Amino acid sequence: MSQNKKLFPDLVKELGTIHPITQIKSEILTLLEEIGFDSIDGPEIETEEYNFDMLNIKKTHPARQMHDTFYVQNKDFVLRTHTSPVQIRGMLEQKPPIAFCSAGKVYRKDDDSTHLPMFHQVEGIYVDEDVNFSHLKDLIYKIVTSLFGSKVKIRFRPSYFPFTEPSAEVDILYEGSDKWLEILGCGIVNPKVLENCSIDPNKYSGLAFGLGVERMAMLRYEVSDIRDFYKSNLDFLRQFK
Amino acid sequence: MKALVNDIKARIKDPISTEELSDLLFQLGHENNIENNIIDIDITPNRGDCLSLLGILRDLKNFYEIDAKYEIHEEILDSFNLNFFNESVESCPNISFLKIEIDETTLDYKAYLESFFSELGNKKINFFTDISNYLSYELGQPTHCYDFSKLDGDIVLRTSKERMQFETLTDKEIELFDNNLVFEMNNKVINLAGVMGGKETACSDSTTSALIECAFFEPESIIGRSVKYDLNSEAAHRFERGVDPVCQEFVLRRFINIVSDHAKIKNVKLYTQGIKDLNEISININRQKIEKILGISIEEEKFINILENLGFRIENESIFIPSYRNDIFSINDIAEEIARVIGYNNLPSNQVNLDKLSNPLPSKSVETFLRKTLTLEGFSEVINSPFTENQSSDSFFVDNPLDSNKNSLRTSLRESLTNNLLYNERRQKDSIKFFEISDVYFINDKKLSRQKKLGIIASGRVGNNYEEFSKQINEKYLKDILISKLSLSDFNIEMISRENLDTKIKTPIFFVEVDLKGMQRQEVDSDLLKEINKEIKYKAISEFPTISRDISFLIKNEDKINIVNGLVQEFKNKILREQFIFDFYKDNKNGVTKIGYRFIFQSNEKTLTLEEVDEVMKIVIETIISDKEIEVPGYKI
Repeated sequence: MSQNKKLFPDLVKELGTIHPITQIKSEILTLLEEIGFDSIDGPEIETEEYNFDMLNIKKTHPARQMHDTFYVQNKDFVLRTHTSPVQIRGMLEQKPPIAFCSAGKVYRKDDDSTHLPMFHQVEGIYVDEDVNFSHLKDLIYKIVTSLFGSKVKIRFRPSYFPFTEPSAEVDILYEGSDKWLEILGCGIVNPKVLENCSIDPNKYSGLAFGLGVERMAMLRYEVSDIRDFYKSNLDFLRQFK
Repeated sequence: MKALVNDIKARIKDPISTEELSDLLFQLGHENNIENNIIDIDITPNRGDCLSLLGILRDLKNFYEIDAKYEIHEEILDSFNLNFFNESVESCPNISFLKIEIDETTLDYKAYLESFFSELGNKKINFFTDISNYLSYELGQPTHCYDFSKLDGDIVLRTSKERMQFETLTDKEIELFDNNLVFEMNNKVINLAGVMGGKETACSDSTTSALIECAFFEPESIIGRSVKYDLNSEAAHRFERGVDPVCQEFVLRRFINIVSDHAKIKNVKLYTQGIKDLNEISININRQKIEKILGISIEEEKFINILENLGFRIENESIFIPSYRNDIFSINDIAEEIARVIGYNNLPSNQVNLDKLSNPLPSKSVETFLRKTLTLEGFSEVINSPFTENQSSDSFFVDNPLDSNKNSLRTSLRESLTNNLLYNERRQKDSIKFFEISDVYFINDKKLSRQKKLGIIASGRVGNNYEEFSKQINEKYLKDILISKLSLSDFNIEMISRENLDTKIKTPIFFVEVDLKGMQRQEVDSDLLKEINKEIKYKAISEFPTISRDISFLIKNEDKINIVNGLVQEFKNKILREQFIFDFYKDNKNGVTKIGYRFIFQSNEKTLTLEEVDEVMKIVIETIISDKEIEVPGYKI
């Protein structure tokens, strides 16, 4: 057949979508890798020791209750409640100076329009001699600016996590908005956590941070119901390319 | 915790605006929201000491002159005999009781007490309970009030492991189980310690003689009980986070003072038991270490000032921690105190350089290669939760699942992907191509075994363009992608039977699952991939059914092909979701071209009628066939 190309309408081949959660996860990991973090990976089924004890989360901590954490196989294991046990595994394997980042699924016993039993986190840790809070601030500025643009205002405020001390929560304010949005938690690694990983807290100190991928995706794409990410509706997925 | 802004402001000697107060509390780590003179403060779980007016005021002392002194009954108190037996000293090292008798009760409260109810929205219950609730708000220490006349036996505090019935003062009948710290009288529970008292011994409107209990319970013996029995308890919230272990007498003296503001006290006596002197905890002063943690330098005087204002005592080379601060253990905790007062936002930021650590930029993973290659072929990625009802012999089970039917963890992606496919088929999608990349977990010889898998499912049309529209997905289609695009050789394509699936659709479903272990990464032609648009704003999707219409145009003058196509593709309407060419045929012999378009309609608000769709179609068709060289066979204007 002699076909005149010009007269032919374009053959539109529809591309598929990489899941928006994967997209944001990769974007953050790539950014962290460019800064100098090494990407590491760990299991989603964890022991209480790695998920809680090593991270200075006491036996009586509310997070360890059956109504907050999924226990597995007659309490032999838990579904990890955060990606932090991956950092513990990293620190047990490698000695400072170290900088790790990891991303993945985490599980908590929640189910509503802003919380799901399964969601994603990305986090990073950097341990070296003389790492301090001013370095943490610098790093967070870099991350937030890269993800949300240089026009957002950034606010640090004290918070509480058993594995960091001091701990901070970071809020951002979009230009023209008057509502601060909470986007990540961070802090100076609690010396007890370093000790648990046989790292001398008198010699080394660390900074750590973590953020929720769904929350970031919801903010960026203006998705109001977190459950939409996991319905696998083609009409939903197609919008993210 | 909710507080009246005026209750805080009244004790700050300098003038302070509400906004200033809110900002300052944020700086100190107390997220808050102010509306109509009520401040709702989100206290982090480590700061149980701040769950009161007193606690908030103590935290503000570095910024303002504060009057945090609450009037108490100063006179010497006689003691009295109480048949109380503490069989659980480890859970309750300190406890005091006050026996108080008044002439008559009132509900006509002084302004400070009245506002706690009328302005802060708390419910009045009875005289003694009201004072107890207010006191908890003011000082952070819960107290419990028994009607003295209803006590007719020994009171025993013990840790019980038996199942026991208990009726709370809010008329809720519960069965206690596992470990509970309880007060008992005549072998019956009269109070679930630190959580809620019992109905039987509770105060009423007519109570004029009360026994007030004020204790320190170890958080471990209270945690989880209010959730377990579904009791809404302010007291438990405070005890779980830790109260001041040595404040009992002070609190009870304040109790007397408030009572005396409202009634004539006929008799008041104090019973205290085994008040242990708390070992005062101290930390060595190490200002240099704190400077090192925060990356600042701070003068000694300022450093000491900040800590003293927060209630720490500095003596010799030690920092003594106030009894109410159960969250301070190490020099890092002290560093946080200093940082809070200076303000995290005022601390410096210094460039951090991780270059020396980094490997050359890490290579993109196998997963990235798979994702990009598959999306180029029109497959979309899905992410599924691992919970399933299908248990296999090697699958893990969840002890406490959200949905008791789904208590196993999937060992294959097959079921999730099949569900994703059916979900979209029910939404009238006829070309469905999905993949998922996920870990799955097995029990292997009693050990945890982990595999990273790629699952692919596909059914229906290959695609929605004129080359692919009439082609159905078959085994060969999938096989070609796996071999030539993904370079896989070891796989098994399965045709999933529709027999047991809840569907009327007949197109075959193909599924394949491969283990990613040992897979080699390959380059993707990056030119084919656009950067993902970060500016996308999600538009809510409709759950109403779609209606589709196919229409074919016969074009006699081939110069008009692009004109027609331009008109169709640019056509917009509120209910038109999408339009695409599903058929394109050039009949050279007769000199005509046939273009078939599919229009898909859907409303965000309702189920569309055929008339509504036809109306839009009419506009499309008549716009185009107004040109004499274009026609729709059989269609007349």
